[in-house]
Amino acid sequence: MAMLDHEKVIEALAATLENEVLPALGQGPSRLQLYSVLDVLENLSAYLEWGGQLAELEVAACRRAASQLAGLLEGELSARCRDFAAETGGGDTALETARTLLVDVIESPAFDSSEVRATVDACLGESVLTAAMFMKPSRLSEVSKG
Amino acid sequence: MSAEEQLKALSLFIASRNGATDVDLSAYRAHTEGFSMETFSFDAHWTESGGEVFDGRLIARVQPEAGLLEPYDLRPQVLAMRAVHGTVAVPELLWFEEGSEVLGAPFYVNRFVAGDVPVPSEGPSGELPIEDPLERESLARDFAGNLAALHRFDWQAAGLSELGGPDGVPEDGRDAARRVVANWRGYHERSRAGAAPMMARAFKELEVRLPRQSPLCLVHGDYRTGNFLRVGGRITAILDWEMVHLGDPMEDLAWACSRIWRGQTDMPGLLVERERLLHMYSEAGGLDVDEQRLAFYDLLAAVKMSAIMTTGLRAWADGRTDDVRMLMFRHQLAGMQVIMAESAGVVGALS
Repeated sequence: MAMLDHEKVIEALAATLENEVLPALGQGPSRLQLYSVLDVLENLSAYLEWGGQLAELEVAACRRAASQLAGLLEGELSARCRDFAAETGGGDTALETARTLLVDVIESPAFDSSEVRATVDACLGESVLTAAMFMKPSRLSEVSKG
Repeated sequence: MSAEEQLKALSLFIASRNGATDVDLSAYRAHTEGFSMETFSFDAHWTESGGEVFDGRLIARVQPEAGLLEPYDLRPQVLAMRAVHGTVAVPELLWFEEGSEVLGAPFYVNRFVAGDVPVPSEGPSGELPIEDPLERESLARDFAGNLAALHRFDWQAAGLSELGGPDGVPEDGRDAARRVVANWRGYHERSRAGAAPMMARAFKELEVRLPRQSPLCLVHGDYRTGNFLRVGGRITAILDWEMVHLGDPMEDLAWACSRIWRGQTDMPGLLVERERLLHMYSEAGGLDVDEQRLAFYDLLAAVKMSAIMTTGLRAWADGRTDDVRMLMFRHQLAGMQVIMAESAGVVGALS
């Protein structure tokens, strides 16, 4: 099935639902659920195409931040930052490690330091803005109308 | 329960409540606008024991098992709606049944109020839900007026201390703010969404910005476009009282003005500009507007919406709801994080 590109499959599914199924539905719960399915399918396509890359970008941003934070923090948190900055692994494990580390820094007393805060904020800002770039326009207005 | 079974059960319920005879319920219609409560309307006819005949349309709202605001409890909203009826535009509530024997879950029945629900979202080509600016202006005035009336409502005289929650009436506005943050932190933690640095950052910022002082009033909790009925330029009913509680009036104003409900415009709820709405609120006799507290509750709005989204996702992931709409929240969280980052001052204003 390698000849079937997932993005094209999803596009075809969405087109069939929108052009063939939707017009046959009246107003009400079925129509609303179908709009939700379309919304999810459209974003799933983007996620499948870019999701891995997005996670890598977030991990990379966290590694850069961790490298700086290692010099600003003390003790165990500093060591964890140094270790994480030196690692090269990716995937879900690296992403969860990165996020857990950031949360621990934010919840530590060291976050009162303006330098620590600025470093974390730069990392967070980069990550959330990058993630939002991959969102497709929402069908919330259709879904809400039912 | 099927529609037919629901109407049959309600017929027996009405007959037992009123001693009514000749109960006839028909023209069932499911309402799909809301995200949480199961709602349906129906035509009702019966003759009361005194001979008086009722003919009208009613609406029933049934407590869902799982969803965005679980665990559910209808009691606070019923108390609030009954109390403010006549002061704020709310439908008249006829019955509240706390048991699950009749419809399988607690429910209440109120009179049907005519109107449509404009949604706080632009159409595919950027069209506004209400195109006519005069209609938007008029709705905004009603919107602000109802909110001012709610905030001015004497909840103590009405015996609504119960709306302070299990810990009783908050000591002051700061205590109320602390509680509301703890409440949404609880939702976030129970949703087990994994490590979430932006949420942690927002909670940290909320600690720093915690208001020192504020008045306590009745807070609707979900006051926004999408939660009112209108006919033309007039609001006929304020809906969705699930999150009503005692708190800071700025909580409602910040929620109503949040970027969450602005689309690509600078108009809260896609009605009128923020300053105009705040002015209308003050003019209608609302409580003092305080920008610092508004900023606190603006950040809380993004936190709250994210927690609602992850709660819905958790309910779906655990198989407690099969509503596909919950899955939309998975990607919408990305947009919510941007709003949160802006409100927390992590990134500069983007719009």
